[in-house]
Amino acid sequence: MAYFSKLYSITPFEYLCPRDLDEALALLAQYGREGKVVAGGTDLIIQLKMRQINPKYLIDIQGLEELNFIKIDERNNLAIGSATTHRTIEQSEAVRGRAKVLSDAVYQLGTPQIRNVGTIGGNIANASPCSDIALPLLVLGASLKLKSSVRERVVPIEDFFAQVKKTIMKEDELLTEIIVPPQSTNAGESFIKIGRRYGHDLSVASIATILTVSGSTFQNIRIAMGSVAPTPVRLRKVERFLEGKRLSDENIGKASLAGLEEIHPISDVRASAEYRTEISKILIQRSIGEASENAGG
Amino acid sequence: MNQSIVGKYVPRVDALDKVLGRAKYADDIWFEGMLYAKVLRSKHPHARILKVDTSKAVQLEGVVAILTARDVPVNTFGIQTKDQVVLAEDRVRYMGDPVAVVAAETEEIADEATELIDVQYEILPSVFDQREALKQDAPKVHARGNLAAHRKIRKGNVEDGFAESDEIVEDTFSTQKSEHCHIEPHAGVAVVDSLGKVTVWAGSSLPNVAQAELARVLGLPMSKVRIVQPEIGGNFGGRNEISIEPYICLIAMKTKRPVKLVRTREEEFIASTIRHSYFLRYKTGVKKDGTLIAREIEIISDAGAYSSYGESSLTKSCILAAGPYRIPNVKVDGYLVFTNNPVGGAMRGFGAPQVHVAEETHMDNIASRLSIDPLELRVKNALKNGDTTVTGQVLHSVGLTETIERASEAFGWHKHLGEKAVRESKVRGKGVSCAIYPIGLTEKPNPSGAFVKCNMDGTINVIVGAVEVGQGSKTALSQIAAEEFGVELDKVNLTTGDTDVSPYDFGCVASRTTYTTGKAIQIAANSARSILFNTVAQELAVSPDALEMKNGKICVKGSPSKGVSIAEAVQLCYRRGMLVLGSGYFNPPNNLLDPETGRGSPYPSYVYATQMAEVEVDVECGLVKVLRIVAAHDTGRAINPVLVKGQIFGGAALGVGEALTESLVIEEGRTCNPNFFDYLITSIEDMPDVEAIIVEELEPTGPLGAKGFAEATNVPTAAAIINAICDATGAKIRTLPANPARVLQALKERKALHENWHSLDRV
Amino acid sequence: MSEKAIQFTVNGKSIQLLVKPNSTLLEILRDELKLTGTKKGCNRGDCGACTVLIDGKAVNSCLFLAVKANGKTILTVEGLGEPGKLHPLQEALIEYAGLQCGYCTPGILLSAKALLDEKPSPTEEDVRRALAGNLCRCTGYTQIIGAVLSAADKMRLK
Repeated sequence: MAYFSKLYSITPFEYLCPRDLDEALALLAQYGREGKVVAGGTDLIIQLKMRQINPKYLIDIQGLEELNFIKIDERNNLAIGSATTHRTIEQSEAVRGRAKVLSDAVYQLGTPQIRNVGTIGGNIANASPCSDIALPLLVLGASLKLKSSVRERVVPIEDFFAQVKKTIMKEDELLTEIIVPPQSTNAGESFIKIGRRYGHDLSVASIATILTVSGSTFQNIRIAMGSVAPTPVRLRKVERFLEGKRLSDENIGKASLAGLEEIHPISDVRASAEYRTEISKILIQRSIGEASENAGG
Repeated sequence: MNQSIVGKYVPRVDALDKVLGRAKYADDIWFEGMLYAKVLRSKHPHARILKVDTSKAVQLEGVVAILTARDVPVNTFGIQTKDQVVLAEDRVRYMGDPVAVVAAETEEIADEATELIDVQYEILPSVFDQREALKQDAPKVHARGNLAAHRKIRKGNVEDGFAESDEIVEDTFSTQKSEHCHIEPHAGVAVVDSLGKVTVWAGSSLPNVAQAELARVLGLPMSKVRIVQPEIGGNFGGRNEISIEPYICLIAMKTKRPVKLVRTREEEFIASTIRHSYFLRYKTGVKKDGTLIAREIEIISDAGAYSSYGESSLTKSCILAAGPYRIPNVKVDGYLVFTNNPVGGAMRGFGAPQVHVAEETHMDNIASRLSIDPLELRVKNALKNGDTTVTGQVLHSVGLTETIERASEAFGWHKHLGEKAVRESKVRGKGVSCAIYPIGLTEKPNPSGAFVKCNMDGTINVIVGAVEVGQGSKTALSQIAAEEFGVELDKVNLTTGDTDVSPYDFGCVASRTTYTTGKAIQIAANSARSILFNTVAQELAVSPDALEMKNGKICVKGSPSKGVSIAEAVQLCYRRGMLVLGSGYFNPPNNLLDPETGRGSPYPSYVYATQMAEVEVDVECGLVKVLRIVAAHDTGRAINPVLVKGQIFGGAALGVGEALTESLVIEEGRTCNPNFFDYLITSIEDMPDVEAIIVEELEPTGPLGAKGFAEATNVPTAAAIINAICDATGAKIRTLPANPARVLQALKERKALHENWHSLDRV
Repeated sequence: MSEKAIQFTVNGKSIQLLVKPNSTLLEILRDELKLTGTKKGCNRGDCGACTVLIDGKAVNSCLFLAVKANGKTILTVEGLGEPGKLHPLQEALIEYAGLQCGYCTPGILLSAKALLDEKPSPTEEDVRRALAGNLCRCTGYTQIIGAVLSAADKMRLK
């Protein structure tokens, strides 16, 4: 291995392009152990070039119509196919109407070139601790449909991430659908991302919040942060602390301190742990404030 | 003279091919049978090479040649001191030092082969901080010791000056390592012909200098080395030395096949030269009314592992370090120190950005100490015509005060700042920085030549050694040539940068091209014109002095009907057996500085600038948004105003980047962010609105009054931004870049808000 | 590793190729089809010099597997215009000096075209957002923005 992060040519692999979901699942059953699923490829190709992974097979699901959709399902959930591009989600009125916090996150993701081919499923399955998309899904209480050729299961997203870049998916499973339940009409939402600059960047720390305000108290509050722990993480201590409490700067301030106990930021070439900790406190305060302002009632 | 082409906007002469995608850069050049080369670089910042074992690599199918140090005829190079190696023999001095080069049928195979080369190192102790490297017991990077150079300026007596001052202000500053990041990486193709002559297509800002260096390394006479310029994808100083040329030439000579080498972006960050990082110390004595009396400056520059442009950039820094001000007593000591870091070289500004950010933030500190408006302090001390510099040079065509005035008016310096901040955590501030920057090389001769050939149909061929790196030289020089002959631009054909054909030109460096090569074109044009005039004068039975060239005709002054077209004049000459060839060269007048006092005239002239920035600081997370910049630049005559503004915008973008986001993170000699993901250059989203103002303080020694100004464009930017951050928040940033963590840190360290620092009505 | 036969359209022309799955669209365009207008700047999707339009959308061709181009319509800078018949964006870049060294220019042109095809009346904000993934080190972007907005004006008048 080279001593600096260099890019190599991509090592050879067999390219499999199933024509429908059943075929994809069959291929995954056969080749899942030595293979990887590719949708947009924007993360995967870089990993291949860095030789961080070395799959013998790539199963391309991007073109599968069964995975490309945004609809309201029979239970009034917002259902998004895993191979739906960020661009499609960004432009979707349905998503903006029912899950604005997700719209906001997608809007700030990467560059147009990345949004045009990157997919929501690819982003989630990549399980980066910096995934901005995971945060709105965590606070929206989303679940993920995982299919294999022999079974189907629905997993709440908060159970999905195991550790850095690892999910609970089995080798033969494919993430097919993201299910977002309906939110309270009075819900206030907030998504804030801090990078190393104002222009597009990865998150140094990011946050999503959803809550309602009832009689000047916080209700149904859910907060998640990214880039401050091995996986995107719900701030449960903060949620428990604020539930039922009065809307006040003092409470928000205390909540932000509680939040610091739940995050474990690291120092890397992008930012120090101290800086991440410092702005996490600010983000928690700002996000709760913003969500409170947006909340109805 | 009716200046009809110069001074107005004409579209770039090279724009069409570029927008069509037809412009051919080095990587677009392809030959049958071409090999691909990859360089293996050192794994350690400082080590002895015990053994280089290429046996496994050679066996890889598709590998055609592997070269090591013993395959290089003359294994040293360097623009000033030849202490850098083509391929390291017994020692590597930074993580990037080349050790071997592989040529193979494909790029992938060459790359794979480099990983199969087994190099045994004996690790040596290394040093990464230039102040540490100055200590007695520091590891020696070179046998001669780590102090590579010590430059001095002594003007007047600073101790006396401090004694008579009312206030003494001190500041320190440290600047970062940054990289050119031209979007086209270093790339080249070499071909050897049947007579053993080598031809290289590789972007270079100085093909003539490169030709000499390359010929020496290859052990060939210069007549057997030809460097041709393909289209070049940006320079900024990154192509001011030979880089990949030796490898492709040596392999081409050995294998008799064409060879291509294209650096990866990671390699660019690791192997390219970089901007020298400086530690700076300033001490200024000033009168209560703001008059600067004495200034003492110390600079410690990190040369990295080799000399490169270290000494000349340090010298320029020393000359400019006191700022564009009239100061009777100045003492500057600049130290260039070797470390095991990547090699410092030439980068846009060449030592000026570092001293300016330190000096101009220091000026704001002085202003706040004296409770004087920072602009007023600068106006009071600003250099004017007839003032002398720190080296005792008397200045002419000083446009500084006009840049201050025009920037101030356009910016609205004395007005309230914009609208109220949106929320309490965001505050706005404004900052100013002035700058002085010279034209041409420091102290040394740097001539440019030009050939002019008049064709039978009245069109002109102009051949120069200057190159087009993107800055617009082809267009500006064509305009000057067209102006000299009084013909339309499309009658001028400019050939650049082919060493077989072009006259010597030092290169497109040091903002010298419009000034020096433009002047050479004028001289060559004149020499061609006098042949025409003499012939036409004979024909018309008048004295040559009675003739003028106007609108493509040579006619008697005042009688436009009495004359001939240029075409007719050329044909007239031909009928007499004469060819109309002109040649000439120009060397900017300069001289060596006294080594003890720095006295001398190191440059022919200078440009000046004032930039003002308005910023918004998020005081909770340290993010800085540059809202707008007003940049007023004394450019001398603007040959092509729109292209001049393009340089100002581009320079400002680089300035914003180096102020806020750009920094090579190097840990124990290892570059940790060798890509655009983690080394952030200014993107379109972060680019502020920039208003560019051209001040034409004509330069009598320049072609049509032009100066060379392009590097000055990023010199004042960082200071203007840092000063604006201080104005907004009271936080004094003394390290670049002012990234969010640093801004937060500086906010913590600021003294009580009601310290006597200058701020407008901040809301 | 088996090569794959793909068929796609490049600049209006139907192309059939046998490609290795581990090759990128950038490599195929430059090395196989000799369309060298699309540039390699960083090889990891950070600089945008390799931007091409795939079914009208801007994509980093260095991160796009060649096999995925099967059935797609690709536009590179070579397909944007020709001498005497330039695209308004190409004319505008020349007229407003929206280029210097030209290396980022093909990518910029295509990202801008994708924008104008979708939003014929973009604001400056829209232009900045559309070109966010295209790095330029020479121009400082100012004259590029001016050029794109003026091209938009011109195209609307047609």
